[in-house]
Amino acid sequence: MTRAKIDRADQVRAERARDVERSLGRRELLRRAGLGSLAAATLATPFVRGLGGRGAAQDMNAPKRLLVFFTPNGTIREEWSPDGGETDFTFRRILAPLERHRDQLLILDGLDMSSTNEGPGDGHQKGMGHVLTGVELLPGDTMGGCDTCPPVSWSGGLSIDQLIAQHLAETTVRRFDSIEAGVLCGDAENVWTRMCYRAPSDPLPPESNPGALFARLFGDPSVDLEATRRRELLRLRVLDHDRRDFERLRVALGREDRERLDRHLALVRSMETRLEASGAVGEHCAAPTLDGMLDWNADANVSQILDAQIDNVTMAFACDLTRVASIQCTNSVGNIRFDAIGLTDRHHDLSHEGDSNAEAIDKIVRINVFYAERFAHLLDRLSSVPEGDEGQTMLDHTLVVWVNELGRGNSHTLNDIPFVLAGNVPDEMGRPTFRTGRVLRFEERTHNDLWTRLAQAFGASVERFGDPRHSGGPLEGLS
Amino acid sequence: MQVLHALGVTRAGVREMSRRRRARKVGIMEARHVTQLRAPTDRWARRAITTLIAAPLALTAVACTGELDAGPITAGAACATPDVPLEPIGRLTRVEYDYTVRDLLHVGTSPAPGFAADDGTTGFEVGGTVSPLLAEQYVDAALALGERAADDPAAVDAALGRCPTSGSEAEACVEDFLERFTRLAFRAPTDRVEIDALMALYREGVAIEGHRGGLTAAIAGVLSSPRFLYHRESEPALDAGAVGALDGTTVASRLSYFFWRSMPDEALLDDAEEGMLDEPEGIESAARRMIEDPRFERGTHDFVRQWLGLDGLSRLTKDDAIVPGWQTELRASLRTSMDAFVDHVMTEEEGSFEALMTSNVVFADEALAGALGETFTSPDPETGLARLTLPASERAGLLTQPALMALLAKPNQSDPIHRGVFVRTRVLCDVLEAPPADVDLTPPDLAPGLTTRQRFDMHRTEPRCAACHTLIDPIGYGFEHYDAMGVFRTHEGELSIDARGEVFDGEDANGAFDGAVELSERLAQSRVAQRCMARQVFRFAVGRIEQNRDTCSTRVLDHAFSRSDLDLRELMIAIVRTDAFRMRRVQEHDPVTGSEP
Repeated sequence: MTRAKIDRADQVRAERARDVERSLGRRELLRRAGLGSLAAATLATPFVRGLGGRGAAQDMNAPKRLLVFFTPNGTIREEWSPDGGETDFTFRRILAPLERHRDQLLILDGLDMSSTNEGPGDGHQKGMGHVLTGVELLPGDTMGGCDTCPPVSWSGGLSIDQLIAQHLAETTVRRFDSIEAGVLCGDAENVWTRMCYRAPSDPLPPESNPGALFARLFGDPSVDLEATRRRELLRLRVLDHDRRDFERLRVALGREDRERLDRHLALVRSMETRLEASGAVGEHCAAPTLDGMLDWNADANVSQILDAQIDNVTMAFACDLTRVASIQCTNSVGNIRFDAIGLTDRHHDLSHEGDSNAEAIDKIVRINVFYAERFAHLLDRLSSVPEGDEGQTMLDHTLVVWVNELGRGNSHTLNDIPFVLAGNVPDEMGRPTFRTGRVLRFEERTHNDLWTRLAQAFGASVERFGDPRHSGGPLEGLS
Repeated sequence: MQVLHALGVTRAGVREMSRRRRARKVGIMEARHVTQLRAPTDRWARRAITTLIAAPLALTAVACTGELDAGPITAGAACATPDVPLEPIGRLTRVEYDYTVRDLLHVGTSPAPGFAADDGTTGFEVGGTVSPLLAEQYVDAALALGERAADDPAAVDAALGRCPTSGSEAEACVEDFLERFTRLAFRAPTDRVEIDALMALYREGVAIEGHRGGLTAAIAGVLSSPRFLYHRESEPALDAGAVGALDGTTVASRLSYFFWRSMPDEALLDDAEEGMLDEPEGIESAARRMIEDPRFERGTHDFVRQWLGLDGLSRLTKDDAIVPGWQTELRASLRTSMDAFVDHVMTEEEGSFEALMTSNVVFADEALAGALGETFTSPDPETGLARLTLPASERAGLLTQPALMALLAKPNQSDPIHRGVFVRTRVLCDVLEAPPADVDLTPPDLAPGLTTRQRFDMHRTEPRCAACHTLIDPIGYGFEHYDAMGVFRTHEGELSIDARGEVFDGEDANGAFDGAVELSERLAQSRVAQRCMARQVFRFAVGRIEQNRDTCSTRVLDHAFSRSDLDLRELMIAIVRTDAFRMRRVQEHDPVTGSEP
């Protein structure tokens, strides 16, 4: 999607806000925001900030959602790739925890990130910057900030999740176009730690604190209901003031200053709109239970942190606060210590061990099994929420994509990336788009083509995605 | 030569590497221009284009570039026309945000560590793009701070604390406060329209929650305003593309964020409004006053934190078996120790670069002194730190400080590679390529009978590793006297330490040395290291990497630093007189209205 298109989407959003404002009047809007909070309070959830709106018009079609799940440092393909044929496959160690969901999986074996043949960056930088964008990294504006950075800055593309988020936002504005949840993602903003991009050089930071994400979605649990309601009313007034302030200030500015400010102004306008625009609150919408004492910086808590983020995202979907989300487990070169599964080793350190080190390989497999178990749990959570026709669940309307920035850790290969699709997206007739329960094996096909196919499944008219030299058209055989 | 042979490379090989690396440095400096072109497919083709673009610029700049030893500025004519690159406004970094709200509100909260991280791609933190997450965090923080301030208005402003809480008297009183408050918060005089808008916001807040709601809304409105969140940058009244001086109010803000990491105080704003910051002389005298202020420590500590990467200390771990008595509390002890060393250099040593590189003083609290095996005696009653004067044969300056040596070490062993990389990138301002994508980066296991140096020596058996590691390892080995905790050692187990090393491709820093003390003494005298020091301060102060258009600014800086006998304070003061600090390039102005786009 081009910059112009993004701007247009922002513009549409702002116009829609002004229309709503004109038709209802601000006083009515304020009243509604307040009432909305109180109405939401009668639900099971005591925390209401995220549920503050009255709900925009319900989308008549079955929902289409995307959830990207990232784990780092490659896999061990011998233990990842299932045995057997397309449908009569048997899992090896790493994906074995997914057995109970096998009918809702598409295992994509052998896809390459060929776009990484282009442009600067080391293996991990490229892997992370390319995995969702499929275009080369931009050369650094300046020198690297780390010890041995080559001169790169950010990815030069829009990521697939954001393309889909922006496409969905063209028809319905929700509280969030997308939600980026993180697990132990560190505190550095650089190309190794960011995979989602709203535009070239415009990375989206993941929120690695489940408590902060909870508060963002469902309200601050430390503030009582009445105070929350008042704060929301004040927020609306403050945002209104901020918008006018930006608008006054921009007039006097030069072109480059104004461009920078305008991007921020678009976000202020969009926040203002979104306070009215939370989705229809579904009957299964309830704030999850959060362990407030969780140390979300401790490697040893990786399992609990990940599950808390899974809960946050599941309920953000159930409450229709967003249709697009990602859960980023650590970052490329992620090097957390895996006490959680009884290891004292760190993930990235292990991933460099040679193939002859059987003990290290076994440990890497165990780490990937751990992630597969959490991924299966995520699918459990999504399929625990009934949605649509009898017997259907949220998983039938949510495409979950498990991605990795490398194929294998010790060789840093950017080929044979272990992609797993789970769940589905309904087509215009409400039927499942993807024919799941299969293992597909590819030769010489790129992940750009996978993303093209995904964009189309979400209704975006996209013929190619990312670098045109590595994008031949939508990946066939998925339906 | 000994090390060179050990690495199996020749002098000619080193020269070839130097040539390639110099070509690369040019490429990096000009990358900004490349990004605006259609990206060529092949990275070598990109290099070629880069060089082509760089060439004419380099020619125009050559008049005032000069080589390192060129002596005093001779190309005055070429530098007479002020020059700076075009830079759009930037926002406050997290550190700047927290110091500013602390000075503004006095309510003692620091929300910024929870904000999305600042852009770290330049080596120093800069306010990069605003993500949807950060935009929300700004508003959340503004509301939370507004509530805190509304609950304790007297802490924010004594007169505000005495305001009536209803009626027209309350409004007049709040309006008075907002006039004082916005001048500080926006770092500039506020116009009537702003005050009126904030008063309207106050009244809306009153309707929701009385006086408290009004104050919350008005203060939150100030703290989420672009006038607060973005650095004010005036534009000279010149045609687009021309370069002219910033107004005094903007200079006041640049000065205070550089030296204090916070907003200007009233006195500095008064100076600006009285025209005292319109000329370099006035700016310099303001800078001289500011470095005498206690807030100057914020600037020096934050510079050192970013330059040396001290945030890594907060995640430091050591294996108990290797570092007996390791406890996480030592992370803070190490940080304090480094800050105290820098304070010592800046005050008692009068900003001497030589002292920075060679002083054998180490500051330690009781825990750290214990971990270093030193006696903890007569601590400073105020800081609780003892001043340890360690043998001059064992310690020389910054590079041998326990904090840095412990940071640049593995949990269970020293780390010659990262110590070598540190010297090359942070002290010599070198740019190194990342290792080949497919190499094993795992440090070799501890092995009885082998020293760390011997275990890492496989770098020389692999030719593609040797290319870069020739530059890195012989420097890193010079630090082998410092173990995983930064404690001086003469033996590793039963084996004697061999800390001989050599600097290659480091211009006047080149040559063999024995141990980090000798290396540090060499670096203290090296023009390359001095110039790098000036570049690091420049990047911190100006918020970008130096570019071709900054050539005259950096040259003025190098000259001032060397003329001051390498006084770091004089270096910082010299920056405020440069074009880069006090000039701006005028942007195109399109006719626009407020409500678009």
